[in-house]
Amino acid sequence: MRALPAALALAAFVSSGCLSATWRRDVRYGPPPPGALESLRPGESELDPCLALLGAPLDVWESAQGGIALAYGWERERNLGFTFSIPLDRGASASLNVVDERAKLRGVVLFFDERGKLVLLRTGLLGELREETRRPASADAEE
Amino acid sequence: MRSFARVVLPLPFLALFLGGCFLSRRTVNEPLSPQALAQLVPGKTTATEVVELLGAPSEVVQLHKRSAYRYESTTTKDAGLWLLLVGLYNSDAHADRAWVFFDENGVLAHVGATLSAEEAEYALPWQEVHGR
Repeated sequence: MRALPAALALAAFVSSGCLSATWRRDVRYGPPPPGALESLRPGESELDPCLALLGAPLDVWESAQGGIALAYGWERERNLGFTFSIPLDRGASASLNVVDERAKLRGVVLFFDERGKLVLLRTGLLGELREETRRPASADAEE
Repeated sequence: MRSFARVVLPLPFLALFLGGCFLSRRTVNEPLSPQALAQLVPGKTTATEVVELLGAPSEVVQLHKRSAYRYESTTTKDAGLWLLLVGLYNSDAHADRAWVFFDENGVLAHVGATLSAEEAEYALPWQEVHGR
């Protein structure tokens, strides 16, 4: 009977490489100042005051309408998880794609027209918003 | 044999309390200089002068006939505690970032900057960071 707890502990000890429980929090960048987004007015707000208010965006692209899109993203996520893994591969990649990292974040995108006037705000996954709203490269080739 | 078992069998239990911990700090690119950013003057500073002041940008974006450069330095502070089967991790990344926008003549039109790389903190998942 005494051997049972010891055996369980031993089993836990030898399986610790592949069985784990994790509590993880990831904080990526900070949200805009409180009330900043609410103070923006499509049709009225201009690019320079928006940049002064919100700081540097995470990403910038040319919108399909020929204006500029500024993307602000941030993350504060807590995850609880249990993992059971069996290593099958000897190789590992430590590479990090910065663009992919930005695309996975949620946030807000501000769309400005060619004169720098705010026309629209959209919230969501930045990668999806970028793909949906950016000016296609073929548009430049056609001009 | 019995005394051997008394010594050896509790060892895995003791191992439960022998965890590991780590602190790691990763910095990508040099921090941005507030003094250099203060020298940027919209309507006057050229793209060449921006590169002389801030160096090579991390990214260049073409905005039809205009363009924008991104300068970025990121600091990530990771902290972890490992108790045999249970891992507790926290990762906090903040960045110094500046976007400079040029008109079709390569003259600076707009600047947006955020300097917060130094705000990254070491913490465990239940601890408050950045006042939240």
